Amino acid sequence: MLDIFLLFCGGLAAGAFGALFGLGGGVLMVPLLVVALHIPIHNAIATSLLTVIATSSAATARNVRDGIANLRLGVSLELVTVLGAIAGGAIAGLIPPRVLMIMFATTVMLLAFMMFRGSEPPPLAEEPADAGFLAQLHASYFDPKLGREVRYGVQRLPLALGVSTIAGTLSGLLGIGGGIVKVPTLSLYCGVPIKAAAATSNFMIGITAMASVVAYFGRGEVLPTVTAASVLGVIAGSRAGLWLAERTHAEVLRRWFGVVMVLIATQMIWKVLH
Amino acid sequence: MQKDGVLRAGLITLAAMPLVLLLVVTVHFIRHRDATFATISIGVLLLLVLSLTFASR
Repeated sequence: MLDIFLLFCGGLAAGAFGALFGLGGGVLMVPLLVVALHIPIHNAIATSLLTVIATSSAATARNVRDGIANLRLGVSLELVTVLGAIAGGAIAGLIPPRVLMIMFATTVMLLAFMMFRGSEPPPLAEEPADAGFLAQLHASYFDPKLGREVRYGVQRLPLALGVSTIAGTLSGLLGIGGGIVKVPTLSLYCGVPIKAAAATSNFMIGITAMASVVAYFGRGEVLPTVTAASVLGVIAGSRAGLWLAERTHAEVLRRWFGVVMVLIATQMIWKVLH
Repeated sequence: MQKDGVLRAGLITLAAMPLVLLLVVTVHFIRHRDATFATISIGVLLLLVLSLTFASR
C-alpha cells in the first residue's frame, strides 16, 4: 500500500516536471522506480513510457488550444523520431540493465551541461524571409508572462531531424520520452523559444513513446499495478506543471531544468556504483 | 489476476491515445488543405501502424 502511495506521489512529481519542461516525466520516473522502489529497469522503462503518454495526452490538448505547440514542426520531426523509437524499443531487451543505467546517466548529464552553457537565440522580430519548407515551420504564440506575441523561425532543421532520430532511439531504450534531448536542441540551436519547444515536445513524446511501448507490451514487461498508480499521479501532476509553466519566466525554467537533470544523473551514477 | 487484466486493458487504451491525437492532427491538416503536412502526418501514422503490426507478431 505504501508502495502504491509512493508511486502516486512519484507520478505527481514526474507529471508536474514533465508538463513544465516538455519531458514527459520519464526522466524522473525511471530513477524513482529503480533507485527508490527497486523495480527492474526494463519494467521501470515500460512504466515510464506509459506515464510519458499520459503526460503528453494531458498537456497537448491545452498547448494546442493555446497555440504554443508547433504542430507542423512536431509532425515533421516525429517522422524520423518514430523510426528511432521503433529501433530503440526493439534492441532495449538485448542490453544489460547496468549498461542501460550508465547510458541514461551519461545522456542526462551531457544535456544538463548544454542547458547551463547555452543561451536561447532571440526570436525573430520580423516576418521570416525564408522561402520553402522551412518558412512553413515559422510560428508565433502569445506569452502571458511577457504580455506579447512571440514570433520565431525554425533554424537548422537537419540538426533538429538528426537529434530527433537519436531522441527516438533513446526513448525506446531508456523510456525517457525523448523530450530531454529535443527541448534543449530546439531551444538552444534551432531558434525555437523554450516554451514553444516544450509544448511541441509534449505533443511529440506521446507518439514517440507509443511507438516504443508496443515492444515492451509484447515482451510482457508492463507491470499493470505499478503503471496504473504512476499514471494516475502523472495525470494530476501534469495539470500543476501547466499551471506553473504559465507563471514562470523562460530563463528561470531553463536553469531549473539543468539543476534537476544534474541531480537525476548523479542519483543514477550512485546507484550503478553501489 | 482479473484486476491485472482490467488494468492491462486500460493501459493499452492509454497507449493508443497518441494515435487518436495524431489522427485529429492529420484531419486538421487535411481540412486546412495543407497537403505537405497532411502527407507527413499520414507517414507518421503509417509508421505507428507498422510498429504495432510487427510487435503483435
